[in-house]
Order: sequence, then structure tokens, then C-alpha cells
Amino acid sequence: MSSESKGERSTTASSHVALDLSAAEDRVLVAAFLAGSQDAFAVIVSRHQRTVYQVCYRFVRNHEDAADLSQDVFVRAFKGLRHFKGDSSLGTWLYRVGVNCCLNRVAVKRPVTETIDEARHVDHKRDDPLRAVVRSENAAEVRQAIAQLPPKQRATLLLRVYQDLSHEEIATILGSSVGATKANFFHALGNLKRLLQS
Amino acid sequence: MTTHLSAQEFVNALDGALAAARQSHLEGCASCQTQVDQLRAVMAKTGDDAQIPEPSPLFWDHFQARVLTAVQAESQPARRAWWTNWADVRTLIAGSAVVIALVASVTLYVNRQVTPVPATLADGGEVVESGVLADASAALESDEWEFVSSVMGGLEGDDIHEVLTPSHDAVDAAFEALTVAERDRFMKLLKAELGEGLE
Repeated sequence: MSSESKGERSTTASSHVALDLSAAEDRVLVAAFLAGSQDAFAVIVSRHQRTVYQVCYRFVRNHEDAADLSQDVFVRAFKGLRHFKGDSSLGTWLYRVGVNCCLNRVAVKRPVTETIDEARHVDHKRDDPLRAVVRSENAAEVRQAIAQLPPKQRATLLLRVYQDLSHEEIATILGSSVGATKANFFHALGNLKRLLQS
Repeated sequence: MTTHLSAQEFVNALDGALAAARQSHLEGCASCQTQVDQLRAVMAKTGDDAQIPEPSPLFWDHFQARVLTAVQAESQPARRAWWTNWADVRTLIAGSAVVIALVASVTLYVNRQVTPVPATLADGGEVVESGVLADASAALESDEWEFVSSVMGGLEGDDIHEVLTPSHDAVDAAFEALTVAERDRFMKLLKAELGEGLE
């Protein structure tokens, strides 16, 4: 079958099921995407974009790079979804793609520097002004300390603390054992303690 | 004497998932208890950075379209501009140079058939060339020769060698490019130069 006729058929098919796709489970979306539905991929992006963005932001600490990285993650997902076997959830698989993108980026880019906007970012809705300022200063210290961790420890810490993932999920994402993941987390906390004290 | 908690067990203790036997050690070991407390304090401190700035709603509105555009761009087969293929460019230059050199050679040869005239002195006593030299000089100053010179001048040594020793295919192609009248003229010139062996 030519790709053109396949595309026409998928467009027609996808227009009929577009409404249903928004409520479909991830595995259904993946199946629909692999059958040629672009709409299914659009729903996948819409559903996971915030999580992917948050992970990317944690690594690069600025909006522009996080947005670029998030885009890269979904482009890679588009090309790699045919290799998704369904052993883990789509979310976990996207985390894996995202963390790999982030680690690659962090490896080739200069060390993360604090932007002025971020350093001054104060969540006034949560706290009274004084406490908000103190919290903001603490947050900046934590960010700088986390940025100095070795890549795997950093990824483990970010996924555990900020994304609230289980050690099993993190092990799947990083392609390591649960024991190694826990050891990484322990050492990450130990290094963080040392960095914060210094 | 029991051993202190391992790295994995400390993490289990933070998660409240330490095995009962090890939990009893933790409760009786000040060293392990201190370390767990310190790790817990570090985890609490990381909570200060729990919030990240939320992008504008406009960003999310455009993000999906941005991803789909990027995906479509990635799906397009990479198109390479013809001039980025150096092999093609070299072939083109060499082919053009062969044709131009051929035409220039014919022109020079025709000019050599003009009867030589001795050099004369101009009014200022300057020697004025004539005959073959003058004709060759005229040919050298022609636009065609300038073009040939400029093309050849921009070539590397290997490329010049390639142009001056063209392949049979290149010569055939150059000959094919001549008009019927030019071919007749060319053949006559070759016969005159090489004798009747061409018959």
C-alpha cells in the first residue's frame, strides 16, 4: 500500500474517531497512532506535555531550553513509538525519552546558570512576602546544589523528589536495577547535604 | 553485633519501608538514626524548590502545533542543494572547461593560419607585434580566454590535471556539443594537423 493512500485512509479514519480519542487510554492512542492516526499523537502530546516540560525544566532551569527539549522529546517519541512495546506505561516511556534528551543536553551544554527571572521567582500566592523570599533563597541554593550532582544521581533525585515516581519506575526510566536506583538516591542526598552545607 | 544500614536500607527507612528486623536496629543505633534524620532534612529542603514557573497558557496553545510542525519537518526527506555536491560541481566545471578549451584551441589554430607579418616599429619606436603573435595575443585577450583563465585559475592542481587530461567520455561529450558546421571545421583542422590518417 502506498504511503499516500495510507495517509488518506488514516485521515478519514481519524476524523471519525477524533472525539473518542481524547478520552482513550494511552495504549489505545498508541495503537491508533501506529495505525496512522495523527490525531492520536496530538492527544498524546496534549496529555503528557506538562509532565515532559516539567522534567525538562528541572534539568535546564529556563523556559526556552525546556520548551525546545520538550519538543525534541515528542519528535523522538513520534519516530520511536513503533518501538514502544508496552512493557511500561506510555508516561514512563516518555519520561525515559525525556531524561535521555535532558542528560544528552546537559552533557554538551555549559553548566546551568540561574536566570535573573528564576532567581527572583517568588510564589506570592503561597506564602507571606518574608517567608516567600526566604523560601526563594533556599530554592536557589537547592537548585545550584542539584545542578552539581552527577547526571544519574541528579536524574534520580529529580524524578523521586519532584515527579514523585517510585524507585521501580525510576529504575525503568534510567535502565538500571531498583537497588542501583536506591543507592543513587542515597548518594544524591548525601552529596546534596554536603553541597548545601558548603 | 548487627551491621549499620546499607544505602538501600536508608532509602527504605526514608520511605517507611524498612524491614522489621532492620527497623529494630535503627531504633537502637544513634549513628544510623542521625543519618536518617539528616537525609530527611535534606529531602525537606528540596521541597523549597518544588514550584517551577508555569508557562503562559498561550505557550500550551501553541506547543502542540509546534511539535506537529517539527514532526512534519523531520518526516520530510532531506533535500540537498545541487551545489553542495562537490563531485557534481567538479564534473560540471571540468566539462565546461573541456568544451571551452576545445573551442579556444580551434580559434587559436585558425588564427595561426594567418600569414605572418614582420614586427614593425610604431611611432614611438615601440615594437608592434603582428601575424601569429598578434593574433594569439588577440585570442588571449578575448573574453573567452579570460573566462577560461578564470575557470582554470580557480581550480586545484588535481582538477587542472583532470581538465587537461579529460576522459574519453568528456571529449565525446564535448564533441557532441559542437554544431555540424563546427564539427566539419574541427575535422578539417585535425586532418590538416595529423595528416590523412583520419580517413
